[in-house]
Amino acid sequence: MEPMMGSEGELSSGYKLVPWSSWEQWNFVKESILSSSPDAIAAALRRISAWRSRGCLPVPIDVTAALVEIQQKDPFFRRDLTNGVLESDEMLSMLYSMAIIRLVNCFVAHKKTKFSISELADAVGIPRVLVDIRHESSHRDLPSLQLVRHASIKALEWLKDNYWEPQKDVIPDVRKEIRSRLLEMTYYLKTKNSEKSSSGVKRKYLIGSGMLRAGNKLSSQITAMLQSSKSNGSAKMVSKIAKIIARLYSSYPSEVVSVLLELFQLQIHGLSESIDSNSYVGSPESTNSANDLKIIVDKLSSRRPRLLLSLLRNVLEMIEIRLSKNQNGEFNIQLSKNQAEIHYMTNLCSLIPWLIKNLKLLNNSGLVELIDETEVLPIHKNNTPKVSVRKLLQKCLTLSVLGDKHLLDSVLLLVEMTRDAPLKERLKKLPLLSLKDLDHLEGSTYLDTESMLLQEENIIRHEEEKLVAMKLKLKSHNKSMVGAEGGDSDKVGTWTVAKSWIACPIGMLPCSFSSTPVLPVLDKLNNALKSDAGLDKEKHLNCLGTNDCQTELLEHGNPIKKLKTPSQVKCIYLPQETCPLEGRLFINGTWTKVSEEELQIVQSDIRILV
Amino acid sequence: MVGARASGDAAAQEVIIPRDWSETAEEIACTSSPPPVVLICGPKNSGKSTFSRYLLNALLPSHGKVGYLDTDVGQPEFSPPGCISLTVVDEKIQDLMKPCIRGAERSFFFGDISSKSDPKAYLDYTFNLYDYFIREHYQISELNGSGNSVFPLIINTPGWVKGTGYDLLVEMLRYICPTQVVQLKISAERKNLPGGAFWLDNDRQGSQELHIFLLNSARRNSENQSILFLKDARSTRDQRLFDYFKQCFPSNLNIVTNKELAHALAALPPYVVPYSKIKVIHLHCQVPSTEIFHSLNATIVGLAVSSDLPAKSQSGIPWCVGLGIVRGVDVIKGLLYVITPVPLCILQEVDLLLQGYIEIPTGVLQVRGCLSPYMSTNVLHKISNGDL
Repeated sequence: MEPMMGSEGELSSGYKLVPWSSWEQWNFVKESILSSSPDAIAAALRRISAWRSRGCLPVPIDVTAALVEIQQKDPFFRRDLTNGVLESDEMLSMLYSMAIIRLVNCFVAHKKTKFSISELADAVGIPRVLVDIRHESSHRDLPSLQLVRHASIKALEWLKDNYWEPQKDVIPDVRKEIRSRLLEMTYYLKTKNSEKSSSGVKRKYLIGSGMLRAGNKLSSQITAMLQSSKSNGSAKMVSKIAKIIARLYSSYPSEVVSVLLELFQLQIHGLSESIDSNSYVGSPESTNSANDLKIIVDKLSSRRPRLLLSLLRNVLEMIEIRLSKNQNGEFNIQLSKNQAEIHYMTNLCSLIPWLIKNLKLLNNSGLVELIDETEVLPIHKNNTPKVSVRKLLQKCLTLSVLGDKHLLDSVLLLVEMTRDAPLKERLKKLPLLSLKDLDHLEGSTYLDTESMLLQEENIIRHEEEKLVAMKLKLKSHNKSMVGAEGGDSDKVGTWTVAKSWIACPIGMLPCSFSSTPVLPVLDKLNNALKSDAGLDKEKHLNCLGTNDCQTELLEHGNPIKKLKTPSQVKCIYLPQETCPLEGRLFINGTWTKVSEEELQIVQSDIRILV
Repeated sequence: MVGARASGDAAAQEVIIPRDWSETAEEIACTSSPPPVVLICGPKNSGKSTFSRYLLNALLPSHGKVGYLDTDVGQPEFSPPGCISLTVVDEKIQDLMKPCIRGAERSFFFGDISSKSDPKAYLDYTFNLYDYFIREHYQISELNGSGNSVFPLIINTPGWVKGTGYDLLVEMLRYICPTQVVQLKISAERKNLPGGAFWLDNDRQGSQELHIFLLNSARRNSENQSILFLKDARSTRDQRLFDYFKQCFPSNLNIVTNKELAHALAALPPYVVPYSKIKVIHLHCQVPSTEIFHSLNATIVGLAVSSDLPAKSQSGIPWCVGLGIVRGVDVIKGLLYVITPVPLCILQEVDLLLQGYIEIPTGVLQVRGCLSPYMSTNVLHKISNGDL
């Protein structure tokens, strides 16, 4: 049986409109529709009906769905069907016959040729029995149920062999390509370095890296490559590969970022030290993978500045996910028993200040624009990536509850970047930050979270009176403001123009703080349609496992955020309803219940600050 | 007699109108009381649209305004594909070879490029639009007799004239009872409609004033055979959609190419609407409610106001105020992001999205640096016929 879809060269040519938003979606349908679980099959059939409504469903999927749906009505395949809903045998054979007629007709392009249908069908390997059934049911009697039922199994096998499996095999494996390119780049970077340094240092490095990361496949691979070959002109190669990766990034931004992070996940623990010593260019000791990551990111982001924003977004997202996963019950990352987890988190966090520093550099050189969130973006042809410093600051400040010094560093860096003097002053008053000198970022130790929070609590009490008065004032304005802002009030129109917008592909949405596009999760949450802020916790946790929705999730109803974030877009927005997640506050190292009123005070306090 | 000189450069196409065309148009234009109701029919590629445009220009000087009822859902004259619409025209058409987008007075979103997907709804929409025209622009109202003017109507029909297409045309002709019918013929006789008042039964014939004009298609070669230009229907439709969504931008923005337009659409701040305020109707297929966002994201929809039903609607589908692209869905916040040229004041009333089979042009999705996730490489689509 030959593959029915022509030669390989044909396949990769050009883009086609497809009804699925990612190959993962396609794969989900493939696995489900060919499974034996009625529930999985039902889910796949539902998804295919959504695809069908988009109008570009490939024929093999359409026919597979038809056959499977009929089988699901046939008691032969569904022993669990109750007697009440059974179709008659004639009905079932008509259904099967029709599906088989469609299959044969769809795959046999019967133009005015000298060949018969069966010859043409033979050429593409369609089983003869299907061709006979087409003929029989079109021109003669309705074939027997036993025959068509058996044929339906054959038909599905044929579809599997000729569509589902071949298609799966040709799904472009971008990640693999990106991974090998990155490895290549790392290799040439190493060669470059070893060319520069003396052989003694080189040997030292080799032994060192071998010992340090014995279990690390990547490093050993690189070491092996290093030993086997010595190439000249590595610098040239590095920039050549950087060019290739940059091109890959243009087509598959999210894949490049995630592979980049994945590849260096184990390496990044070297990063925190190298950042602390503030050594940017590698000294012999820091010639490690962390440094490679830095150099690679450096090289790539000068070509594709947006990459830096994507990286920043991904890392923040990863921290958020971990945060929300850990936040059931008593949560304290510093006290967590899981050492690996702590380590991982520290690594992630340590990336952020470095990324922000680079962002600043890119901004200075005009490759990235900083924007004000309130600014309505005009339609512009320049494609400079933009980042909302304020939103980024909000996000980092939120995450800084971890007490991680890197995150605090990030906050301080961002405060500097806002060039907003009053804001800086207000933030300085936060004990969390005031312990650190705004002008000297390095050399700080882990903060004593407990005493710091106690101090903070005191300040909050002092401010309480002021805040209550302010809150009352705000409440009176609240209604009109909410409408103007979210567009979900009846007083103002239902339709509003998006307040800020950054060019992003049709079918995707821009991330709130960086200008990177995000593929939305399209699975309908049961109560997702309520437009108010109060979504319940379970729903959120349920969908945390699914891809890409995390940013929005955390933005909206995440428990942690609810308690202490400045994350609402506007300073003035005060939810009138009580917080849906009964208030607990991280006081003296434990999550303590607090009254609703206290909570709102804290909430508005932070909001006023940022 | 060569109608249009087909040259490599489409813009340089020159239109030569045959004498019988201009004579027919003049004769129709002379009819003034009551103003003519002209139905134009004929097989594909016979020149219906070109004659309609020519006739429209001929009627304008004497009547000032002309109604144009377009029932060709695949290639409508003034509307994007998938729409059945009534347009009141008061300005001459410059280029007889090219359709252009103009705002419709009333329209329905049929949601497919052929009437075959729902003939009943198709006729319902057509009849409602016709009734609307008669009520608003054809009957001299007794209340303000001097105030309103009456003017002629041109009805353009699809080129589907065999089988169900024929039946639909007959029903339309019987309902509308035009005063003039222009029937275009091509040289392949068996593809043409039957001659005479084919839609009337014998006993009904002659009961009214009726003029039937038989015209030959303009494009003929030296042997007097019709030249069938294989219009690339798909790219024509895509172009109409581009033209339609170009209206989202002020004309002084100087967007020339489709590429520029696609870029601009990706960057355009869309309208935001809470999903809870919106109902969705799938016109031609069933979609489970759990899958609605998978179905909607990055597709073209008709925008409608659910309470704004025509008087005699049988389908229960309200008037359509325009098309939109659902450019993004935020399930968590329950928001839909929609791009549309419909002005905000009209949009405020919109609470219904109609989804059909009008495919979004791939040119809108395939933007350099902004590639939509719905565009993919390495897709197996069609069967190759092996080595035969």
